[in-house]
Amino acid sequence: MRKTIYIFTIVLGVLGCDDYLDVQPETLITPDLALNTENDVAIALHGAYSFLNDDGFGMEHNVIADAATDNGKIPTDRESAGASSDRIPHAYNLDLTRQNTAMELWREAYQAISAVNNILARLDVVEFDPDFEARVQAECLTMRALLHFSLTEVFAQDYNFTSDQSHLAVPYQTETEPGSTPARSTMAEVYSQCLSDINKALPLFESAGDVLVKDGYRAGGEIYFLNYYAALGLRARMHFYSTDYTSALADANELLSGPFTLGPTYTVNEYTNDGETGEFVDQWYGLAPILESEAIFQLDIDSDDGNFANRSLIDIYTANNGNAAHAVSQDLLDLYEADDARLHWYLDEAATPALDLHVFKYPGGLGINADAHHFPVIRLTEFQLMAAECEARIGDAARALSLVNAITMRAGAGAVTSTGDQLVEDIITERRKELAFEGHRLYDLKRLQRGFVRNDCASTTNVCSVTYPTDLYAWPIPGAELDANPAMVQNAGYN
Amino acid sequence: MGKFTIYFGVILFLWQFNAFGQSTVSGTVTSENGDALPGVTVVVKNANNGTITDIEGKYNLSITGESPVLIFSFVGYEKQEVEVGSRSTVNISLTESLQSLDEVVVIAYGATEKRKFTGSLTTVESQDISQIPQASPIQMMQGRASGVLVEDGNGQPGSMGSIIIRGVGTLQTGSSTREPLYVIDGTPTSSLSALNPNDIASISILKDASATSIYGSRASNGVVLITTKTGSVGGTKFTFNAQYGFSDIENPNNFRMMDASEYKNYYREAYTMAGENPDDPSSGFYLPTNADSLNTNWVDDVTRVGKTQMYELTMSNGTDKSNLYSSVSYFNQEGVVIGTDFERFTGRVNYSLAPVDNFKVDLNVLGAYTQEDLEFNQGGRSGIFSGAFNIAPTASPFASASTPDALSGLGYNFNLPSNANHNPIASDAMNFNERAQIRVFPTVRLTYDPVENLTLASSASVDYRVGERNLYQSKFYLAETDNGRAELENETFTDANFNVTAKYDLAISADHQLSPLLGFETFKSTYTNQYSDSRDFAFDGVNNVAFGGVPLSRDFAYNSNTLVSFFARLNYSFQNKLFVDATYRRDGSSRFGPENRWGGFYAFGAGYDLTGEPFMQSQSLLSTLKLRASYGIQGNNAIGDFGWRNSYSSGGQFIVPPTGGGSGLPNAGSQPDTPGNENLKWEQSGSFNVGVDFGIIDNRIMGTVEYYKRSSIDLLAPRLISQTSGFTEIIDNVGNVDNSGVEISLNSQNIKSGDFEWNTNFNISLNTNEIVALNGEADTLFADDRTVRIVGQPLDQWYLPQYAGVDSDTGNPVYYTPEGGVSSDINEASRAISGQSSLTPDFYGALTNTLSYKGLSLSFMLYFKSGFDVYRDNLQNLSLPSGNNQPASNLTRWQQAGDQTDVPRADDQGAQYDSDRWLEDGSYLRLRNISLSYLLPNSASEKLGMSDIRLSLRGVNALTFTKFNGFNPDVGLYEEDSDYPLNRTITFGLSATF
Repeated sequence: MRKTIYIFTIVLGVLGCDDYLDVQPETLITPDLALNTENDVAIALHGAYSFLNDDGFGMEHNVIADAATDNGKIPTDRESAGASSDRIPHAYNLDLTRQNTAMELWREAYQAISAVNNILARLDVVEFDPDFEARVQAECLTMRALLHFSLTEVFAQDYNFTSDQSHLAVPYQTETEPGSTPARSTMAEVYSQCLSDINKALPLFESAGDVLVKDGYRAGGEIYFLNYYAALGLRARMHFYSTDYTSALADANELLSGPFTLGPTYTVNEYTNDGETGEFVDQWYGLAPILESEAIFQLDIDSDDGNFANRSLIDIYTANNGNAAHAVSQDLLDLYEADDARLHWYLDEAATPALDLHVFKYPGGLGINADAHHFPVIRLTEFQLMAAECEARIGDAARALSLVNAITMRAGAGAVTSTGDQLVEDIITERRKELAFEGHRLYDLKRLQRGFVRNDCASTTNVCSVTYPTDLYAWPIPGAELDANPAMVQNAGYN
Repeated sequence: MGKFTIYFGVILFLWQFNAFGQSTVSGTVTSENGDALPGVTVVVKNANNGTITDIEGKYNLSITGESPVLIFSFVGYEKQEVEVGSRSTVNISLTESLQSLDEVVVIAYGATEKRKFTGSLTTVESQDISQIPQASPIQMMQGRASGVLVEDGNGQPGSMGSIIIRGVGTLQTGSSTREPLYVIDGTPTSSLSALNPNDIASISILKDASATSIYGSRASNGVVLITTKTGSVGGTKFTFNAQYGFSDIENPNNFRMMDASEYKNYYREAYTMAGENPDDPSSGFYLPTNADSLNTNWVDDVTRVGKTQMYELTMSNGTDKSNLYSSVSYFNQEGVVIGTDFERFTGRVNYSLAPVDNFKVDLNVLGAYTQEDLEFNQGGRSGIFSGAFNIAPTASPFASASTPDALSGLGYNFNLPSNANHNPIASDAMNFNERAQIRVFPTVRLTYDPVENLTLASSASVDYRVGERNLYQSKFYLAETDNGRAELENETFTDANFNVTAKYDLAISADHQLSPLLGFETFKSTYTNQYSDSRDFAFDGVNNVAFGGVPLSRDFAYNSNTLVSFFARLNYSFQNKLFVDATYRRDGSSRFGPENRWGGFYAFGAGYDLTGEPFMQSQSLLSTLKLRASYGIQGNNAIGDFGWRNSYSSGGQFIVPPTGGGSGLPNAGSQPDTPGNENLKWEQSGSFNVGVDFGIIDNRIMGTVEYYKRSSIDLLAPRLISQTSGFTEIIDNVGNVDNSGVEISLNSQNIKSGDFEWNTNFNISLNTNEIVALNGEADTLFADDRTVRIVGQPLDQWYLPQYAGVDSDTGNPVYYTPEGGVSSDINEASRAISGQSSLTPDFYGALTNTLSYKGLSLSFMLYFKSGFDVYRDNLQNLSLPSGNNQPASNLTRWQQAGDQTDVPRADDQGAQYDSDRWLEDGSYLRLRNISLSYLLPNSASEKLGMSDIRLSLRGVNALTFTKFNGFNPDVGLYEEDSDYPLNRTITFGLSATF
């Protein structure tokens, strides 16, 4: 009896220890262990990039820029799945609400911002090669600026909406603090933070060079990672969108004199794969980088990417590998001359009868690796047209003409010959034609403080024209954010 | 428990034993109709010796003391006391008992007489649930116990259903966080899958703190104790059961989609309203009214009448030293949706051996294999059932001359733009999604009585489940472009449990009895999941994931948690009428950070059996009366295993071509995974329960009425946080919820006259639920876009824009605005509390009647649940016009100015907006079970060399009365397109013993 009680007591004592209760997750590690060495940091940085390939920055930010303007249309042959909200039909219909907004862009942009903030917070702790540290810091700061700026393009009114930029933009996050409830920064604050991050990053890029690629920490060339010219291009874009045309011109000129050359003349050929046939622009077809000689920063979207969530631009725009949720309007098509090679960015997938053209600017491999395509976030042409518009506005009109006509000539379109205000207009139109479906039109309209008219207006919407100013230019903050963050203020016109 | 008390008890025992001289008494115990009763317990009153009767009902016993009294007791029979006097032979016959407090019930770590139990407990007996043609013991519990809300969930063959006991006391979403703790033969487990319900002897549902607190950190949602059958004393007996029957869809109000002409009218109207011309072949909106077009009823085509079969053979054998129960069973159910099936093979051995008087070993082993054919996809366009709702009835399942070549695969039509080209009939024929599970669940228990009245017990068990799921999508299935895709998923669940208990029964005197229990327990649960998929298959026939040309992903998931516990219970009884108990348990759980790992839980209970008191003798109405009350604290740790840890995961790889071109290379990535919360602590419930058990008219009517109040605090829940942190939610202790309610259950023997008997069982449960506090700055917490948690309101209230109907001039939907007007702009609509969540119905219960005459028996249960609203998410999705078929309920749409209706015009896109337009009252009354059986007269079965030959006809969900217009109102919060319809089943059965 006594022995039994002893055994009982021993069993209690031995098994009661706390080690038994310390169960380690096999698939997770603590942030300290995750960000401890150079290699850890390189891997965490890839994790941050991977958010850019997801539905938010990789799709919504770009689809909205055209669908929400006179470039877009809901195709009449849209399949019913194309109407589901994750294909953002509201971007065209403009029936925006706290639920029908750019939900993924909001969430994923801040996920990436949090990821780079975690890395920045560890820079003092981790032992680095100085070049490595400089390069990582530069990429993190640039990504933080790029994402905050992209958020303002969708969720805030344009830079000049108030004369002192006191209107609300988005919270500028420089550290990760779950449970905090930040209020919206003003547009002035976001601009100043972004520019400060970029200005800090530029010299770091210069001193570090492409050390991560060289040292074998990553596969792929510089165009897949934020680099000196990407940061410079972002700064140029920010100046341009704040209508500081002098600063924009200076940055654009530095880019134009950089190591890039404008892509070659657009050529067209017929491609067939997976039951789909069409004539496409060679330079935009396939799985290789688009216009590699002028590529500054590109995304390589692929369904094997860690964060890829099934809504590539191919999935949104084409019927062969998706649901053709968004198409191109006749308003835009009418701007191209008949011989313009860029008309081969669009294809009628329905044999008969003729229906709306689908966007095939990113045909990928027509079904080879169904969702895979490149997307040019920053390419030289943007700065060629930016410099042209700036010159036309504040400088040398002759240079403006030569810059813009390099673009028209490449596409096989007629040259621009106008002068004065008409020249500015023609460059804006050329910008609309060349950069269509690359994530610019809406943000250009906001910069210009213009509304738009949809002559080719689909039956799914009541919004066939918009006059500036409009609530439709500052999209509603997602309901999930408003519900969780009492400091968050909704944009005018939404609840 | 001190050594002193043990020795004291031993001395007391020896003293009693030697006090008087000895003699023996023997006899035979029979039932009312003269059959020998083996296994009857015979004890000498106020002494400690006793025996049980043998196979022939005979016993032989030493007796001591003056004027000894024998007590005969046997489950299901009235206890009887007989004075021996000078007799040496006492033969008696026992009468079958009406339910009374003598019933022995299974409780935590033991069993006790109902009289002595101070907590709240409902027992479901084997005969109530055996032979019901359903696979899940959970679904069978519906209507059987008050305070126990069972949701079928999903009609998919093999699905389990879920239980909520006494209201939802947790803020977490997902039914698994509200589930009670399941304990099978003393072993906690997370699953009741792959059990043969006919192996269950009884189910005890523990509801209040006194009953459950000894299970500590996992007890706040209640505990369900399942005890499997043991062999009965007597010769070897074989029983064979067989059932065969059919199922179809339960569709009380004939929910249907439009037919071809309704469909065409609808869309012609929509196109015309939008300014398009449906008669113009070049418009893209061409939809002529030609009468010769197809009319395919896709929903009919993907559903069927399914067959159900059950076969079972059991063997039972017992002696005074050992007993054995063994069964093998086969269950096969074809689902009502094509391509869905469930098969289950089970084998069980329950063996108990007592080689010497004070030592016993029990071995319970379950081995089971299940095989499921699942819907290829559940929900969405690619789902077999859900896809069928979308497809235009004008389309054919099969390719024809007009199908474009590029869209016909193996003769099927993939030109179905109304459903993203998914063809469910082709999907059923060409694709598959199968899951197999093996479960092995052995429990070994040793019981040793080193001295009289002291019982040491230890049990060890492993519940091991391993599952494999294989999916293949044919390379000729054209709605997807993967050129063949396969998935393979392997899961393992391992629940290991070890416990030791010591129990001592101490009779301080005849009036005072004390029985302390001490225990120690450890539990470890581990889950792994390996998943891989691939695409690009060379041949359709070689479709294992390894043969896909392009590997897609490989995932591994791992969860594990441990629990260490110490517990104690002290029961005291006075004159076998006043009972007091106290329990305490200390648990350590790996699910919390080191600072908050340990928690203590306790309960006190008291019961008073007034039946023997003088005032009871002076009246004749009440024949039994017992009062009881309890209070205690239980816990809940139903959160993710690693949620408290701030962590990174690998993932977010980033694939780009290498410099100089070539195919993509991955850049490995890592990402923030969980924000973590070191301050996370136990969720706790303080439960108060008061109950009265009574019997009226010689216990012809037995009843229980209970009131409870359960205050749950520090509730664990994911709290939505600002997404600007990079996270969407954090797990936290966020609030307090109160549940209080009344439960009534009545058992009545209405008529027992000769061969005719009529019994009625009725139970009803009323629960009110209220959020008392929510931490944080807001007193509002959003569960999702449609529900809200607000202090002062029940959990998960619908919080939706208020639909004001249709503007009769324009046909547009309009919503109430905060100013009290109406507007067609959803951005101007006010959101408000609407309806009532299905988590918190007003009341539910059941009425069961059993009538028998000679061998004929009829039993039927009417189950009701009232006062809750279901959000018809599926109806909302289907009502968005984009070429998909429309619910027939949209036939009442607005068509011209002046129409008064609730359904907007055909081209209206308003169905994309949430509002209370999609809420419907789910209250229903259902004929849940009905069975008619006939037991052949003994003379007939004996001629066949058998006994107890029984023929039966059984029905499940035979009839439903409801205003709800979907298939099944009892689907939880949402009616979704992924819901599998409820089955209505009828079977014919045969059973025989030989």
